[in-house]
Amino acid sequence: MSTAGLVVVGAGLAGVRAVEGARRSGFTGPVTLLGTETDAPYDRPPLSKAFLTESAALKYLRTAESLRGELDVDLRLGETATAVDPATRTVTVGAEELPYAGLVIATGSTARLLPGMHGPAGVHTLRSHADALALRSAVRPGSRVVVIGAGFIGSEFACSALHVGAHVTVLEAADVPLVRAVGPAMGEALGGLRGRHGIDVRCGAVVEAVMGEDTVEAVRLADGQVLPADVVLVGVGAAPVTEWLRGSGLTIEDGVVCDATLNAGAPGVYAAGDVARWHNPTFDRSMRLEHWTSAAEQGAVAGRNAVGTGEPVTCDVVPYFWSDWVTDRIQFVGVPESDEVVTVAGSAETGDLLALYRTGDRVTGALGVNQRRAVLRLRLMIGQHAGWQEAVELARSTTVRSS
Amino acid sequence: MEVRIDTAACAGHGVCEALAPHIFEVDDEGKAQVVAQTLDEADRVDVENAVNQCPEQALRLIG
Repeated sequence: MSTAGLVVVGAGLAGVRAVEGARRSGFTGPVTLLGTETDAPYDRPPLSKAFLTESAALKYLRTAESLRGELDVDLRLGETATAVDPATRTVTVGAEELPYAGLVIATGSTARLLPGMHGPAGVHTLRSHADALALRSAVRPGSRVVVIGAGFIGSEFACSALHVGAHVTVLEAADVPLVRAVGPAMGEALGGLRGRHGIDVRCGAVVEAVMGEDTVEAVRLADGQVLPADVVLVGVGAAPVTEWLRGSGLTIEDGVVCDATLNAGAPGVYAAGDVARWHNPTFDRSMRLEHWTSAAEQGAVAGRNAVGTGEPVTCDVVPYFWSDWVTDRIQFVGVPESDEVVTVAGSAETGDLLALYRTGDRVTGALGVNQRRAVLRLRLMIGQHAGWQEAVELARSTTVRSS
Repeated sequence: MEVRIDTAACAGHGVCEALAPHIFEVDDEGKAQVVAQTLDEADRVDVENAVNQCPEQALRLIG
């Protein structure tokens, strides 16, 4: 019988960082990395951008050879864990009960679907390599593309489809897009940026049905409008992959509930990435993030803590995400809920917006359009619980103006 | 020990700067730069972290 070591379920970014984190902390025992997809771990952000517009190759986070050779990992691709039993410390994979000493749950999230609308061919979601391949071959110059959901995936895909030469319409059920991500005021402002790229965005547009028997033909709105479509992308958010943990006894509340060290409430069990809802000490509250950087940071912490080579460390994160709309880079740091949002420089339309989010007398968020230097300085300040006035001064002195 | 930055690949996320502000800084062009005058063995862990965490895989540690 093999010795129980570290088992990491999920071979995305968080899973790979967990393996690396465990090895870096000095762990020399067996490490198993399970991934449902058959590709070696790859990077997802390019799938809605260069992968579509430039036919870029899949970007691997680490090759299978590197994982097996350099990190001595038992990499098992195309294999899905279906259950965890914290009492016996085993993970069920097919007919096998795989023992673990430490476990990292990094199963990520899956694209949410719209009930009854995914029947005909030509209706897509965008999450995996396979999804992106399907979209890459479906979107052609002159294609009529309807994007349901004006979130970041929908916006990036819309920009990419436009770049390829398709006709693109974006439908958003809410009156203002991106409210959950950046708050109402800045959601409105970013709408202006979309206009700058010539994308037709219709807010308050409720989709009633996707029409077509075998192949999609059109999208019908609640107000009776019918939009002809060759390709439909449903971009209405992502749901954490936790179904397989039902019966494990772990607490699931829109994600695996974890403490500040990412421990999921059972000995040796940790979670990281999109699937983890943890207590973030930086903001002293529970949150679940779907961002690249937090998946990377959480993965490293969870891997290290799961192998128990030292005292468990907490996972302190200042949320950060970016989105590329053609040549514009949107960056957000911190949290969108605030007492006040102040525009410190520029505007979205001119492509040089910088806005700060205040909570009490602290800076707790910042949004920038092409303001990379300032946004990153502000990320550090938010992590250091910097005061509002100090942040405003820094922001004013480091912004750039579009020429 | 030396860090090379592939400025074509660098997208200015500043993850390196967040991990090691004494070594990296994102400039006004949105590209990472090495600001440390010299790197020694004490910096190795910080540099390795930055190399591993770079979202664009734009950093390389040599030596």
